[in-house]
Amino acid sequence: MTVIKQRNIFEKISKDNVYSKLLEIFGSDYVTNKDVDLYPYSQDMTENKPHMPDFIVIPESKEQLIELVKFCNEYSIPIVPYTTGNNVGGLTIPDYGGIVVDFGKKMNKILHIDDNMMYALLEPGVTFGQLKKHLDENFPTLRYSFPNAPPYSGVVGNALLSGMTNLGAKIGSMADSINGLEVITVDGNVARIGSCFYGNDKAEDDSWWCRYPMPDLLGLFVNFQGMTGLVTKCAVQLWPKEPIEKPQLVVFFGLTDLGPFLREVGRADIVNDVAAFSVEVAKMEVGIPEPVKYPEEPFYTAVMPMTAKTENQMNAKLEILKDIIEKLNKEGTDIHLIDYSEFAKIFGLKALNIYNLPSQILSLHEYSGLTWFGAYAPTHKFEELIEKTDALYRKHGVPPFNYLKIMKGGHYGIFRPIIRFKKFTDQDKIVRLLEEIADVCIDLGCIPYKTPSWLTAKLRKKINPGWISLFEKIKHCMDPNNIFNPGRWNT
Amino acid sequence: MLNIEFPDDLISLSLYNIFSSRKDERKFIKHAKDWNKKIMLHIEPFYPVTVIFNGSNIRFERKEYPEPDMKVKLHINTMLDIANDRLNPFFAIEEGKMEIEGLGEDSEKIMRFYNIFVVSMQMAAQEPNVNYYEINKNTR
Amino acid sequence: MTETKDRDIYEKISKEDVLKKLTEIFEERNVTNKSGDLYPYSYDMTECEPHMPDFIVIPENALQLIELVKFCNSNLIPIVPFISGNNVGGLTIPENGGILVDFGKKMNKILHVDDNMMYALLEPGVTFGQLKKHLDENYPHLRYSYPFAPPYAGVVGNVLLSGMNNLSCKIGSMGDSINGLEVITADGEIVRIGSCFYGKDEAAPDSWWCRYPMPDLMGVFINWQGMTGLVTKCAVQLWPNPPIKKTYLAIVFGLTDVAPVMREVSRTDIIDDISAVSIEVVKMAVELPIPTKFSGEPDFASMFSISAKTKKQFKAKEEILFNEIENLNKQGKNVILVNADEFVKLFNLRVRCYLDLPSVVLPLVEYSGLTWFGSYAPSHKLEELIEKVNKLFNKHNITPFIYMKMMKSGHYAIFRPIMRYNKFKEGEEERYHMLLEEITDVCIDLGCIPYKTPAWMTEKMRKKINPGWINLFEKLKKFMDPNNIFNPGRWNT
Repeated sequence: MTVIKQRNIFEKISKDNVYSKLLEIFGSDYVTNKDVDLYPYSQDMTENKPHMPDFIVIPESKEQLIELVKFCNEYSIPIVPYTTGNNVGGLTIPDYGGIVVDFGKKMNKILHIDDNMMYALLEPGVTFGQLKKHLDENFPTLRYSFPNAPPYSGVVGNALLSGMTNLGAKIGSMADSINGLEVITVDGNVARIGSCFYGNDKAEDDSWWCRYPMPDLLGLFVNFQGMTGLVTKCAVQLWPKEPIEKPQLVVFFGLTDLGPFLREVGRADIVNDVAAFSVEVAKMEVGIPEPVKYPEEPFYTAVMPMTAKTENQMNAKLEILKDIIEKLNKEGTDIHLIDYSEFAKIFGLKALNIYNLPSQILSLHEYSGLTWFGAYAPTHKFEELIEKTDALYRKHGVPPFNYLKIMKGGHYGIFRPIIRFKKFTDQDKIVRLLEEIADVCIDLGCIPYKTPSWLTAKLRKKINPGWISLFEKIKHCMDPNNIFNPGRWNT
Repeated sequence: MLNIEFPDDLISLSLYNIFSSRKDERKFIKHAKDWNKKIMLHIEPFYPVTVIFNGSNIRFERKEYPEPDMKVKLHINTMLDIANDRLNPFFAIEEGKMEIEGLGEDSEKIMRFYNIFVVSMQMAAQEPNVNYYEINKNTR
Repeated sequence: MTETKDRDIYEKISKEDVLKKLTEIFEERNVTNKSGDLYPYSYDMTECEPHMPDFIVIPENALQLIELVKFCNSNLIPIVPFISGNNVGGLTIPENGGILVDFGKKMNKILHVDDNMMYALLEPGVTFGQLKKHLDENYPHLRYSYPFAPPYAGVVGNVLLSGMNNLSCKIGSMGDSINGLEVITADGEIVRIGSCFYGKDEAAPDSWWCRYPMPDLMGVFINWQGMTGLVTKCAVQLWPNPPIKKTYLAIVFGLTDVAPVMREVSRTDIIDDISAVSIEVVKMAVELPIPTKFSGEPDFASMFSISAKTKKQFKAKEEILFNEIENLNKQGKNVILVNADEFVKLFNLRVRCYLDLPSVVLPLVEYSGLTWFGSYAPSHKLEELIEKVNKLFNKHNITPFIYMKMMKSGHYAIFRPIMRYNKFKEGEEERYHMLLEEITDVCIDLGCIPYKTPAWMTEKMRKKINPGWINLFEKLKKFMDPNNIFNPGRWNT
């Protein structure tokens, strides 16, 4: 196992010489080493330990990045990719200093939308809001999807880290939506992966339509947190936009009623997504600053985007949904279905904010800190996960903020306890709670995504040695000098 | 002007939302001010809430008062049907979808109840703009 | 670039010593080096050049395979995985000799079916027929998906080579259906990949439910044709088996009109499977010896499968499909939609071989030779592909057989010209191979990407692929298999 150690980057080459080289590559407007510029990149909203980078660069083209990678590889200088810094996992905190590459400022173009084969070719800095606007205005028959995250978070990062969006119940993990990548590997090579691999110098715009069927090199860059190379282009699948939209709201009066509901509704293959929240989160969303659940209130609420091509199709879906709820209630649950748009009109349009973009819960952002244990979860363990984390929240006197989803037609779930906190007062308590939650969830088979290093250290104890061996070997093969986001997964 | 106390439970908050868009409206003030009544509203499957009208104040309590002036019980979907004009409230009573106690023959009570609750719901439902941030420009 | 060269395996170690070691690992009855046993493994139905293996072994468990891999790695002996030899691409022909590992005979158990998270954990030798029977009998509310292939073809091979099945309009490439793998790498390590990675010694049977979200090591084994390790377990996603299912047949007049029909219908996002075949293929299925298309006959037949939980849902989907066909006809296409089940009763029940998958299309397998150019294709090029390939068939005086699919609700397509021929007739193999090469050139030129590629095809592709990809590919192959023991020769390694 590669030992985490402090590196003295500027032994081999002086900081000044690095700076000169960066200026040469990127131009003086796009390089900085001033503390005041570096500071915002040194930390994020989580409890992960901050660390100052040595430089920020803002690239405009892949040619610049090729030069950067070659240079950094020669001198073992860490490179940390950054889009918007909104990941909840400390993934862009440069644990070993080095150079943070901010794609968000300039490498943020929507390069091509293919109407026929339904995909978008993007630079890494493209945001969800940007993509939605572009499609709404220019390709109104197509849609992408978006997560319950701010509109200024990055599309490519979400896909490369197998994020989940408001099409999760239909299409599953966003990693399955990647058609192709252009990456720069440690030797300065540019590789185009996927159907776009044809063409010695460049790919046709209309050639980014599929990940298969060649040997699947794409996996080398999925969920690797930037540890194996720099992604400079990414093609993601789009979907037809359906004209009939009738989102639904579901409320759950039994603590664990959500479990069977998610499983049944997932399998029925009728909703685009199920985003379920503890009622405390819903109350926070509609403006109650310190939400507490009262005994009579439901435990959970779920927002379910539903679309269809025709009214008949929508009515058929709703009929199936109502039958499922009726059946479950006969078996002892207490679940109720409400038309979401109508409900929100009467009871508070703020409730729609989680459904539409901007899809953000402001009260989450108002606190200085946000962290979570976000995991892919086995669906038969939902009840146990809810009960056990509930107990932990109470033990620490923190309101339970859980978020659950069902994915890809019921094949797997998402379980995500969320914690907002005041960075400079509550941090220790929150760190303890988060660790306990992590232990309980991992023990029940959950697999966290967007993992900070303290979490991967826990995972390593449970993962089969063969996997760890292969993973480390591949990392070493792809990045022998450990320049790409060193420290992630304890490398 | 009316003063509506900001509550912290889901159902009261929803009623707060329905009323507050009209709290400076002359018609609404005329009906709500000095009504001095306790109206218990039970929106199933949720819990009962009592709305207390006291002078210029409206507040909410998350409980059933022992002797409210009026008791109203209906399902959330019935409420949405009434709000969206799919169901006439009087038919709703006739069909047993809305249960009201304490209405009696008091025409003033009927009128105030109708104008405060039913009309407010219908107005909220008819609002075409669903962008929260446009409607609530003062929000942060 | 690693060169394919003849290796003299038995310089380092004698054949007898190898036999001795294999017998020690697998026991005598599961090892053979007799020509009579080796011969059937030396060729397949394609025109790819045959080559004898040196040994066949029939493993029973992963531990035996670990020993085998370690032994072969230190002695540079090639290992070629084999399930049922039904791939149309020469993938199990041991081009460099060595040891052929037949998973199909014993490592063919269905280890676990998870009802809740809907997956099946399989050994590599499980066949489609076997899986279907098991599900029909024990989990009738679940289904897998089946390719246009015989029931004795292997499930795991199909997913690892991103095959396409009768749910592919809904779910896309089978490569996306893999939840987890257990593999043995060149150094003899056993690796569990996917959500099953928890657990030092073994994984709980209910833990094979997802490929993500850990670093995606699975890609290192998908579409690699066995070049990076030996897969010993594979978990594949199942789907609910809906009570209402119906297939429609769309008869299309107009050579290239089937393309827009397939594109538009797939985008409705209600179809489980869309495939299309040249009318000659339909005629071949009903055993017309020389299935020529006559003027006035339709050019293509396309099948759409729909399923639903309730009658209402089904009617709603049907309405959408009918509307789409009506739209297409209004635009000038000439498409007739009929109920496939009813039609075949009147027309010829044999055509059910396209509906009841997995299936044996006798007139295809009766011929001694079958080959094809099977590819993932850009759907906007389908018209051009059909026209150009049709011309090539006619030029060589060979009946055109084209098979196409739409995948993942219209995100990409499959384009597959097929050829059946008589292997033992003088000159036939060369004639068909020439046609295949020309078709390959035309299709690759139009952006098609062949799957299950024989080495001569990958050689053509290499000229077109960006050098960065080739570099990375070769680097990874060399890293995973420094001694090039895993199916050497594939992708010209």
